[in-house]
Amino acid sequence: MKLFLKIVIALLLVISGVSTQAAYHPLKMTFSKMILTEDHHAEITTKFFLDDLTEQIKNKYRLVNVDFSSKETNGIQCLQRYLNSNLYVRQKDEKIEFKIIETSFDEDHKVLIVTCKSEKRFDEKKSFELYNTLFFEVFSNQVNHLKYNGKENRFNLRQKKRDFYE
Amino acid sequence: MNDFLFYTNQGISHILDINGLDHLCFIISFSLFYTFKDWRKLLGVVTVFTVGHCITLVLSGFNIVRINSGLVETLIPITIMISCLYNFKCLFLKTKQQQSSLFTYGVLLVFGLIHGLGFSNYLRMMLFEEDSILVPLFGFNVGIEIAQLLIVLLFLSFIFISNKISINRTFVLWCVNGIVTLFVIKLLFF
Repeated sequence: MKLFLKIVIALLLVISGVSTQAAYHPLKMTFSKMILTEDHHAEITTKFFLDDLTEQIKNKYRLVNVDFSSKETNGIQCLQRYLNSNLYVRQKDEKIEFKIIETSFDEDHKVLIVTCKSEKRFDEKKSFELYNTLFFEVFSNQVNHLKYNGKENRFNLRQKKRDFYE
Repeated sequence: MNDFLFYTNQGISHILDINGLDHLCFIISFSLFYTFKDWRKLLGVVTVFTVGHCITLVLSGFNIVRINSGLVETLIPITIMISCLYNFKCLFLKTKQQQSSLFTYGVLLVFGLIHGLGFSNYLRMMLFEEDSILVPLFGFNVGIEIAQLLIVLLFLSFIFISNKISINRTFVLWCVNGIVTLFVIKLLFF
């Protein structure tokens, strides 16, 4: 047993030294919360896994380095363009895009929290369609969770499954 | 869907998701030598693991304990590797695994503590600042337990069926342990 423990400890030291820790999170998802503000705008706060987001923005906009540290950085500006195409609302046949107003990181610097506000006023009494296709073009197993205006309205948004002949 | 059910569903999905098999592999690795006849001992083992991950899930959920998430995500596959290596040792030496020794319980408790930290990273991702932690924590934990028991049941059934159709049990255990080990190697290095 002692020999076995020694072997295990030795192996662990080797593994710890060379491990690249590839899969921080094999699960691909974002979490969003949408609320209505007093000035009749919609506000969405979304949490992204930073590594996925960095990779996607880098590839899509051909950046060498991506910086999300402030609203003026290349990362956030490209993210704004990305959100314009992949996170928006349609109401009364009108597309309402969201503008990034705040960004922050979690304590471990693994998650980027982005808050954005609708550019136009939002009529909460009328029906609307929310489009959230973040990372759908990258990960087939991407799931985007959304909580809308309280605990009772939750949605898991997934890609439509494709048939072979499509 | 109310909060409790939502987070229970998330707990189940977190364990059973085909793209995040690390916890599933760990459950299989520590259940490897058990059969339906050993259900009491297995229940004891699962309970100890559950207690471990509940402790750190709660402590981390309330921000009493915070460990670097990168370190945790490296430690989880290492716990699986240790379990697999121990299984290989038992298989190779043809010794009976010490199914209910204090040492086994102690190790599983510690591993449970580590896995609980991994669960808490995921739970924290789901919550926003003003969200209450209690219901999500409880619901998520319940979901994890349901998924764990389901995996144990399915695995024991698989072993039972393979025995019934006369596949050599030792051969099956070698294969299962080997597959889990390969998966862990992939997690660690690729």
